[in-house]
Amino acid sequence: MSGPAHPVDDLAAHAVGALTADEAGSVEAHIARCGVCRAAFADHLATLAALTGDSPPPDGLWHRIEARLDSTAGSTLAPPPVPLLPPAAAPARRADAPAPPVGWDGSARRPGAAAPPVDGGAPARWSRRRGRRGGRAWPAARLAAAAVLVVAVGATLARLAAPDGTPTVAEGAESALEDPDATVTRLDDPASGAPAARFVVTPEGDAYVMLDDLAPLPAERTYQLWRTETTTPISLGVLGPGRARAAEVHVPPGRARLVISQEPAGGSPAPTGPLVAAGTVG
Amino acid sequence: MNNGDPGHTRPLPMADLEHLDDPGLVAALCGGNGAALAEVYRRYGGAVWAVAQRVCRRPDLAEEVCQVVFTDLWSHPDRYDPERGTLRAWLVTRGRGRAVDAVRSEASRRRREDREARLAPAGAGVSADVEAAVDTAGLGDAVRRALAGLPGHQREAVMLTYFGGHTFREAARMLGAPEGTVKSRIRLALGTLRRELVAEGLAP
Repeated sequence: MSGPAHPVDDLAAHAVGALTADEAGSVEAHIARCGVCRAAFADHLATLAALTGDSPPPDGLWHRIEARLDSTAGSTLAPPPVPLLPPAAAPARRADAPAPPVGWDGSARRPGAAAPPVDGGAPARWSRRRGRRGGRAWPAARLAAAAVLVVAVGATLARLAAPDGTPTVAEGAESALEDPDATVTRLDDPASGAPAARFVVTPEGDAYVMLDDLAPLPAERTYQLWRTETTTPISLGVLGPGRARAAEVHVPPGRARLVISQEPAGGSPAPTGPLVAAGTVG
Repeated sequence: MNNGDPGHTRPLPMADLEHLDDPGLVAALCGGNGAALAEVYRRYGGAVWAVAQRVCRRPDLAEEVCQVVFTDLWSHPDRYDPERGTLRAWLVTRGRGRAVDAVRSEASRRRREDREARLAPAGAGVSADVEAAVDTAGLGDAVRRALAGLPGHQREAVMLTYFGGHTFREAARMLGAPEGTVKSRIRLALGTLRRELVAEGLAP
């Protein structure tokens, strides 16, 4: 039995979820071979998604999602990514819009839908870690007893030792320090000027902080890395209490003022504790 | 950047993740980049929560829905097809579907418990469902205006199905309208809503 060339009513009914499974299957089969209806269907879904807009999820939802992703260990006390509100929109028309979206670091952010696509070929900078496998980074991060980097703007999950032989942070840091083309920057105690830590980055973009003269902290405290050349400090992640003497970090390319502060375990949204090391990189 | 081979996806610095478009972000997910999931949550967690909360009307159910949507995305990022629309729309669609399932499961569980407790089911039935589903309270002002601008039959058809979780046959019975008519009304409603919401800058 043949139907209309473009089953527009069924398309709309399917978009709102009002078809039975069989009927939906028929529409999906049509969508798979019809670009016109595929586009129309995408438009319907976009329209429907706009009806409910955005609302702040409950605190802790992200932690609970994290916890479900990996069953081997509890979630780290990581500052969660703060969801953006509202979606990108023509600002002039949004008279009823809530305040502009704010990212974790307090700076204005725009969600991916409005972000410029990565142009041309490669992203700004990435590297293949020596010997790193292309597996899930998530479980590896859970095995941390040592330095853990929280998921915060400008930071990434720690690439820590996994039982499968992926290089440890310590090994990666050692390689970086041995790399003649790597750049090492001293981070000194702001008060005394004495050396406190080092920041090392290889040409491939692997970067580490060596906690040389920063003493290990009690378990309820941690070191946290920030960039501060902007007006609001941006967290680059938690470095841990310092039992591990190296932490992997990701610092965006370009000039950056880096400082290390002492914070409560899990980190803080803004520096609260003493600044123990500072330097300028890039 | 997306050379199409997930096996060669490398971990990206977080700053780069923020500037990735949706397909690039999903490619990073396919490569097992946990920070990419956090970035997806940062961008669209609020959207998934909003639809889950709206359909479930209970924070505990809505939370469960959100968790499932994001854990599913982590387990099966390859299910997202950029040809089918934006990642946001896809996640909201998944959230709405899961939310409807959650509400139905919960309702079944309650009915079983009521039967077991020998409580008479409340006579609220059809009309209460229509009212609850069509209520626009809690939606954004511009969205409410756009919905209010629809002919009543169209508004009822789209809200009973999308938010109320009813099939078009159920909606037809509830509204006392022919089934084909309900489908057309949904189509017309979506078209009008799209024009309004795009004009407001709320839809791409």
